[in-house]
Amino acid sequence: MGLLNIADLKPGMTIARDVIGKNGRMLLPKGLALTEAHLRVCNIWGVTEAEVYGASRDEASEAAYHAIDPERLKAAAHRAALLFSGCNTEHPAVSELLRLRVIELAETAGENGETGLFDRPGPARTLEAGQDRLPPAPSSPAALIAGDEDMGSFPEVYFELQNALDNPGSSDAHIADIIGRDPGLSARLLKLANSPLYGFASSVDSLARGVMMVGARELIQLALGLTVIDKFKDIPQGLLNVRQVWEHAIGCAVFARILAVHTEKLSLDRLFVAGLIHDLGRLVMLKKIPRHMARIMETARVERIPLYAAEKRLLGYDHADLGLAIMKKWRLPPVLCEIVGSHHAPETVINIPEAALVHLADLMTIACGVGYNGSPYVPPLSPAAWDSLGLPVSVLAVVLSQAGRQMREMTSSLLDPA
Amino acid sequence: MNHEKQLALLTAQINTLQAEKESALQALSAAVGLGHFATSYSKLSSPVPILAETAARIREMIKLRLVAVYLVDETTNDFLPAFLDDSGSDFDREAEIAALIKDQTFALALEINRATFAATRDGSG
Repeated sequence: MGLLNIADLKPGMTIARDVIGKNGRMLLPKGLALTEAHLRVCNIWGVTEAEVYGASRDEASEAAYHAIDPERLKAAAHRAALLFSGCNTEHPAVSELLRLRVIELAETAGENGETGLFDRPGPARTLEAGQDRLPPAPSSPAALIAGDEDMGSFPEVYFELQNALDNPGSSDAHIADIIGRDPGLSARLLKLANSPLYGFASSVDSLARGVMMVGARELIQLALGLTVIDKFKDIPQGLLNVRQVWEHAIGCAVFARILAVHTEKLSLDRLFVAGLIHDLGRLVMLKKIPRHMARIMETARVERIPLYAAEKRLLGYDHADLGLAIMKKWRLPPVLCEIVGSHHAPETVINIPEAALVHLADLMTIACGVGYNGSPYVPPLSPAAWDSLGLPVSVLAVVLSQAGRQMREMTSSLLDPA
Repeated sequence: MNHEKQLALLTAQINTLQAEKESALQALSAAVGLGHFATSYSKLSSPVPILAETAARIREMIKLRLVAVYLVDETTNDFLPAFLDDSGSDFDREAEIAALIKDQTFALALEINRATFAATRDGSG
């Protein structure tokens, strides 16, 4: 008897334990021989795993590997092993992500311009002669942003929106009026409201209608994320491709939102925005200390350590520390600040499960090669964070499957010109 | 800004606001009416009339090429088509639904307690 992922269940297998849907619905009884129709029912009701007689997860993995050309599998395993070299692959969740990544890399090798580890853009400039003469970097997050007017405050439109939301007398029209004063934000919000995330295609043609249909609170959360994107659209080219940086952010946001659905207790909107802006500090580093970032990225690549660890070593703080400092200065919501500030150390804020979730979403985004935030290796998973989410390992394959469809549309909605 | 320009601007604003108000009232009216039916559900031998009425009201709110309603078959737990209004659309509904089920987007939609939308497989709609 073994517990198998939904994707590994095959017609003819016999169910060894009743399969119950998340809402308590009895789906398949013990002893039932599976058919294609039963598998469809499992997928409809979000079943991620089932116990069957005469099979095991290891055997299913082996069967999946055997279906792949050995040479492609070998190359994929090598690439994935390097990608995960900073992780404890003994951890069940990491092991499962590694397995899924190997299969995906082997199956898609050469397709869609797949960007494996070796295809990723490295720093445009390798360490130059005289590199040791880099000027000292600011010694703290506060020092890095001191005196920078652009870092001094968050666009006032967000706070006006927040105030309007807190005022029971505010109408949708009033909120739309505030958003309407920022043409760029208006256009992007309308485009987002018309994306498959909300899908009111051809109906959301005005902000007031957008506020009414999407909801004021959600629209304000999205306004926050979009405002951050707009603030950093001019980071210097060269070190990283800006679009790929934002693709990583959007990937993390989509993963965070879907994982939130599976935890059944967290705010989808807050997690989407947290995922979108989790690397805010890195954007500031790229903008303000590009030469140091080049050194940091090279260090991470050569020494095979996560980028945030290289930041910490060379600067004394990492992008999460910097993001926290900036967001606090901008007076953004405290919980959002904590999520961003601790996404590489979620065990320090275990009472904020959203931090654990963004931590996992970030890791999954890097593991899957969605965009590129400069981190050449998958950062280590915090076991405490994983445990705090209470998710089965089998949810990972399902989340990857569910996210695929949303990634492309969200990227277009947020990054392409409105 | 001179008096005439200001007048033209204010007139345009009023027209826009009136259109907004009418649009909002229409949507609200449709939303409020969604759950109210002239026919008693318990007196019907089939859910189709209720589903047709619901589809018509949804079409008042959102422009749709096709409306299909799937209901749970309580014996198999599968979702089966119970009503279809496709107005001659060439949209391959069953293939799209099968793909949504296969990648568990359908399951995601059931778990999110609000309307969920997904692009078609080829991204065209």
